[in-house]
Amino acid sequence: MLEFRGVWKSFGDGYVLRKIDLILKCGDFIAVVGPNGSGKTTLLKLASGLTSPSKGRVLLSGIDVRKPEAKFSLGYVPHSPLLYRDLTVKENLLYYAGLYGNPNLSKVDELLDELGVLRFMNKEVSELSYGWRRRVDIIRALMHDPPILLIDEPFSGLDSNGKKWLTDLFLKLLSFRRSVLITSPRSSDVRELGARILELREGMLIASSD
Amino acid sequence: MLLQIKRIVWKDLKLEIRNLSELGSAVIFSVAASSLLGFALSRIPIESSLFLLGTGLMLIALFLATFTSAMTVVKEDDLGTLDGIKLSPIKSLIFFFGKLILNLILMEVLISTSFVITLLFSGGLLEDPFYIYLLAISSSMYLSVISALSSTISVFLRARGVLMPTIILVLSLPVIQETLYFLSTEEYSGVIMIVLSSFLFFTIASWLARYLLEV
Repeated sequence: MLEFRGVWKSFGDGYVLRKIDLILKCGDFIAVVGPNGSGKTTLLKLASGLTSPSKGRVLLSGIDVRKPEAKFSLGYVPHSPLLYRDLTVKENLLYYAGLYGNPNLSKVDELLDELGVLRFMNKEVSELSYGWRRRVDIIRALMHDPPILLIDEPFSGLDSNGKKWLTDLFLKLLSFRRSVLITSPRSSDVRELGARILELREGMLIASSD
Repeated sequence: MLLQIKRIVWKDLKLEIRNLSELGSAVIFSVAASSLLGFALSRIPIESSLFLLGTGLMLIALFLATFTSAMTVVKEDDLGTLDGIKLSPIKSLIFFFGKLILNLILMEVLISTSFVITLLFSGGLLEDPFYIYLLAISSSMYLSVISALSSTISVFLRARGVLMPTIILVLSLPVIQETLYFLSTEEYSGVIMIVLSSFLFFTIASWLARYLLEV
């Protein structure tokens, strides 16, 4: 369970996020919507432990998300893929699998095949389009089989096939009782997914009126 | 742990060899500088050549330390992949070791190459090349620790273009002075002292590296 307890985040003088209280339980699917600059990415960075709150706490089953033991339970996909452009898809995935202590070659192949990326495995990341890089980055975040997946604007850069691929992936993850937290600039993009929609307005998280 | 270090080093080596940006510049610089140094050595009296050789090699090592510094943690930060490391459960110390070993390999290979090229162009006039070689590689070992540390510090600070070489220069000056002194005395204890200084500095740098991935 991922929990935000009275989280505030400031950059300089102003607060980007104000008193955020949020609980992501096992099997939950939450979409946070808001315009650019509303603090969606900051919220996901806090959830992934990439940044620390100015006030309050972000906990994963009672442990601070920044602790190394919490990292195994989180998969985070930022807007810009965390891939090395001069390495092949397979080299990238094996490298990251190795950092999690799981350099399992058959598992990498299995994931690539299942998610339709096998034909690109020996291509350098720089040769892939942004949409395919994002797909590979999603696989990177899923390599260590985390119970919680965090994705920043998941549909950005994806064509209709990519969107269908991702929607199916969300459904599959949820059927395995995984939790998913995503962000989107528009509620129309996520309305059909069946996610609970929350809106970020002036740094506060409120239930969407949609 | 060793496997994780190996993966980091191997990944960085592949990246450097494939795009040849900083590594390419470092190789071209070291070959050009050592050829010129060797040529200069062949034109001066043999009694002054030792000091020029030491100074020349230390200058090459200093520049190489700046190149390797730009290849390590700073590069991860520039590529945006440092977040990928921060998201993983890897310990800062292991990450730092990986970067340090890469620096060490590159520095030692490039300094050894520079030494051989200098000898070739100088006409092989030196009396005890093995001693000078030991002194050069022990000093470059120290410089590679400094290089990894300066790369780490630069990630947290602005104006890295000015900071990286400044940190390297300031922290290297005592060892450069030591190396040039031992060059004239030809005492093998000098090599041991420089290696010990490297280990001492390595301990300090490793302690600081614990905070590298802290948020």
